[in-house]
Amino acid sequence: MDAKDIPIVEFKNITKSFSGTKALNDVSFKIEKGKVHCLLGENGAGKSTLIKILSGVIRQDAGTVLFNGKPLESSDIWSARDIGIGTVYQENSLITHLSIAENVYLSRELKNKYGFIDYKKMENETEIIANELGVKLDSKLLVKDLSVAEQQIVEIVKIFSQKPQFVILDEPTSSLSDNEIKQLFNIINRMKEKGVTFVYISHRMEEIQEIGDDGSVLRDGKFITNIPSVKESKIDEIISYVVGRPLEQVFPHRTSKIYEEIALEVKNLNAAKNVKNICFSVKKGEVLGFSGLVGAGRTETAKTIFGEMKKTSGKVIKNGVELKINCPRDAINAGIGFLTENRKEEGLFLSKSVGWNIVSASLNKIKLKGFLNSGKETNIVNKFVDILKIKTKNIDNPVKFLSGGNQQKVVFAKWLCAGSDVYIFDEPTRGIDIGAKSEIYKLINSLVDEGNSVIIISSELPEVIGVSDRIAVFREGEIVKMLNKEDATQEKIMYYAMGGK
Amino acid sequence: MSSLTVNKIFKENYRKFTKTQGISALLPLIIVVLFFSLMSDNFLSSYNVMNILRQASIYAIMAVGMTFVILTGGIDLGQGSVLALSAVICAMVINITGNMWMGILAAISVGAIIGLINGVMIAYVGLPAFIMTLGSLYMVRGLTLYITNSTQVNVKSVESFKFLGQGFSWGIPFPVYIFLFIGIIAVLMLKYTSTGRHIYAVGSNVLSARLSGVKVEKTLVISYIVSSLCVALAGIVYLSRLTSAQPTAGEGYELESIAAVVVGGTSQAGGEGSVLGTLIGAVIIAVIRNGLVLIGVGSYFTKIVVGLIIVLAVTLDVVRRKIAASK
Repeated sequence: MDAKDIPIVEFKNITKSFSGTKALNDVSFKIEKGKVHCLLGENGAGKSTLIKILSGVIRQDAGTVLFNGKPLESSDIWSARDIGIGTVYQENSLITHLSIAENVYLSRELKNKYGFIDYKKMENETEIIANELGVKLDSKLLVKDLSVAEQQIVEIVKIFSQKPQFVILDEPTSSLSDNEIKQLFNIINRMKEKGVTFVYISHRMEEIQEIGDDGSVLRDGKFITNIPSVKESKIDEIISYVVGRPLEQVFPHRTSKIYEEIALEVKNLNAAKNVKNICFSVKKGEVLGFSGLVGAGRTETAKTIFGEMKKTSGKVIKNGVELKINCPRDAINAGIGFLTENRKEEGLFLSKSVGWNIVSASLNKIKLKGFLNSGKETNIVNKFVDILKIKTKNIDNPVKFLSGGNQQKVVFAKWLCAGSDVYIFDEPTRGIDIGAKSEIYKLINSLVDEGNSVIIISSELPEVIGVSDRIAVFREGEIVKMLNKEDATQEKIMYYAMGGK
Repeated sequence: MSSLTVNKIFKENYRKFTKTQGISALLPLIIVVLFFSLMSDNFLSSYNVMNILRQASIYAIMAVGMTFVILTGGIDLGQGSVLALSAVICAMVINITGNMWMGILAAISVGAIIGLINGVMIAYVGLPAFIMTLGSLYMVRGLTLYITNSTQVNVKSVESFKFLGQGFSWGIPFPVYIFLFIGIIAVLMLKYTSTGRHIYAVGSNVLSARLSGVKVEKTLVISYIVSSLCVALAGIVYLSRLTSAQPTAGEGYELESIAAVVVGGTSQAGGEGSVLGTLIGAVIIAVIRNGLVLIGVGSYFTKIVVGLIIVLAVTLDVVRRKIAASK
C-alpha cells in the first residue's frame, strides 16, 4: 500500500465507559489525510470523549487508535504533541497576562546559547508563523488586551507553531462573529494546503458545509455513518443522522399574537462603554432580536438595562412606569430576567445542585414564615425540572455534571422561577446541540404565547431571523437599523452591521 | 414491611446522612478518639472529655465566624487581635461600671465595629481580604497594647461573670453550651435564611451571584461582622475563664481557627463547607492536643501532628474530589 493511502487516523473498535455508561461503544472509522473531517453529533454523542482519546487526555478501555498506521501507545498530551497532534479547545487555554509570543512558546520557550529565554527570537518566530497563516500580529501584546476572536487566532498560531500534521478544532467559532469566522476559515485553508489534516467539531451546519470535506456522525456513543461529502449533502439529511429522527422544524412556527401594549421601553440609554443613545421598545408577546458583530454593544446594552453596568443617562420604562435600577436585584424585582452568554461564569453555581441553582434568584418564593423551607423548595424545583424536561439523576446533582443543553435549561428555570415577564437571552443556544436548541426555541415560543416579552441576542444570523419578530442591528454601541421579520435577510443584517447606511 | 422496603428506607436515610455537609470530618474524629482511648485509660474519663470540650470551645467559637468568611472566599487574619481587644475592653468596662452586662455589650460592640470596617473596606473599597485583615491584625493589636499600657487587666471579681468561663451546668462546662449554642444558630442561619444562601452563592461564583440578584457587598460585610462578633464572644469566654486579659492574648489564634475550618472540610476557595464540619474540626484538634499530653508526648510534637492533620484532611478531600470527578 502506498504511504499516501494510509489514513492519518484510524479508530478500531474504540470503547470507553464512565461509571458504567458507555460514552463510546465499538467505534471504528478512518480520517483521510489532508481533509477537513467534520465530527458530527449532539452533545453527549461521544465526540469529546473521542477527541480526548486522540489528544492523549484519556485512554480508551478497549480498541486501538492508529496514527499514520502506528498504534497510539502513550496517553499524555505531550507525546500526542510530539507526534504532531494539536488541539484547539472550545474554551481557550491562554495565559492572559503573558504576551502573545510567550503564550505561543509556553513550555517550549526558545533559549539563547546561555540557556536564558530568547524573547526576540520568540517574538520574530511568532510573527513569521502568523504571516504564513495570513494574519498580522504584534507578538509583544499581552493576551488580555486582545479580543476573544484575536485570542482564538493566537491559539491557532500556537498550535501551528508546533508543526502539527493533525489539528482538532473543538467548536472554534462559538465566540466569533461572521467576519472573524471567515478569517479562521482562510487560516484553515492555508494550513490544509500545507498538508495538515483537521477534525472539525461544530454545531453550526452552515459552517460545516462551508469548511468541511467529509464527515462522521456519532450518536449515543456509536458510529452511525460516514458522510463522503458534507458540501453535497442536504442539511436536513445530516441533521436526521445526528438526531436519529427527521427534524420537523429547527425553528418551530409561532402563531401567538403580539399585543399592542409595550412591555419594556428604553429611551436614550447611555453607558460608559459601548452603549450609545439606545432607543427601542418591545411589546407583550413579542420577540425582539439583537443582531450585530461581536463587540457591537448588544451585551453591554443588556447589562445596562439589568443594572450590572451603570447607565450614564436614559430611561428604562416597564409597563408605563420608569424603573430605578441600580443593581441586578432591582431589575429582577421589576420582572426582568437575564440569561447571560457565559452560563458557566455568569449564570450557574457549578458545584451547587440543580435545585439550588433554580431557586437562587427567588429565595423569597421558598420561604415559610421568613425561613427557607426545603419542602417548598423541592416542590418548586421539581415543577420546573418537569416543565423544562431537565435531564438529571436527581435534583441534588451538581449542575457541573449536566450536559450543556441541560445546564442552559437550569438557567432558564432560574428565570422562570423568578417570575420574570421580560426575558433577555444572550446567546442562549451557544455550544448546545441541535436537539436542545430546538427545545429552547419552543420554550421561547411558549413564553411569548403567555404574553411575556423576549429579547434575544444572537450571533447566528439564521437563528436571530428564525425566532425574532423584529431585529435591532447594532454597530459600535448604537442601534443602526430596526428590521421587521419579513424584511430581514442575512445579507441585509450584515450590510447594516458592517457599516452600510 | 418487606425487607426490600426497609433496605430502601435505610439507603435513602444513609444517603441523606452522608449528604449532610461536614459529616466527612466525623471519620478522622472517630479515628483519633479510638487511637487515644487505646493508648490511654484516662482519655475517655468524663473529666477528660469535659476538659477537651472546654479547651475546644474558644477556638470553636472563633472558627464558626471564620467559616462564614471562608465560605465567601475570604479570610480573617485579625481574629486573634480582636480576641485580645474585646477581652480587654470587656474587663475595663466591668471594672468601671461594676456591671458584667455592660462589659459584654461593650466587647460585642467592639467586635461588630471592627467586622464592619473590615467588611466595608473589602466589599466596597475592594481591598483583598488577606491584606485588609492583615492590617487589622496589626492595628487592633497595637490599639490593645496602647489602651492597656502593655499591662494585664484583671477583672474585679464578679461571680456570675466567672461562671461563663468556669462554671458547670449538669456536669458540663458552661463554655461548651455557649459554643454549641453559637454553632446551632450559625447552622440554622446558613441553612434556613437568604443571607446564608447568599454567603454560599458569593463564595461559589461571585458573578453569577450578582446577576442572580445577590447583594454581594452586603453579604460580604455581614460575613466579616459575624466573624468578629464570634471572636468577641470568644474573648468574653476567655476573660471569664482567666479573670484577666493580657494585651498579647490570642496571638496566633486566627491560625488555630483557620485550621479548625480546614480540617472540618470547608473549601479555601469558598462556596463549600459547613459549620458542623468546623465544630468537629475544632474538637479534632483539641483531642489531639489533649491526647498527646496524656500519652506523654512533648508539646513540640503536638504542632507537628496538628500540621500533619491539616495536610492529611485536605489531601483526603482533594483525592475524594478527584475520584468523584473521574467517575
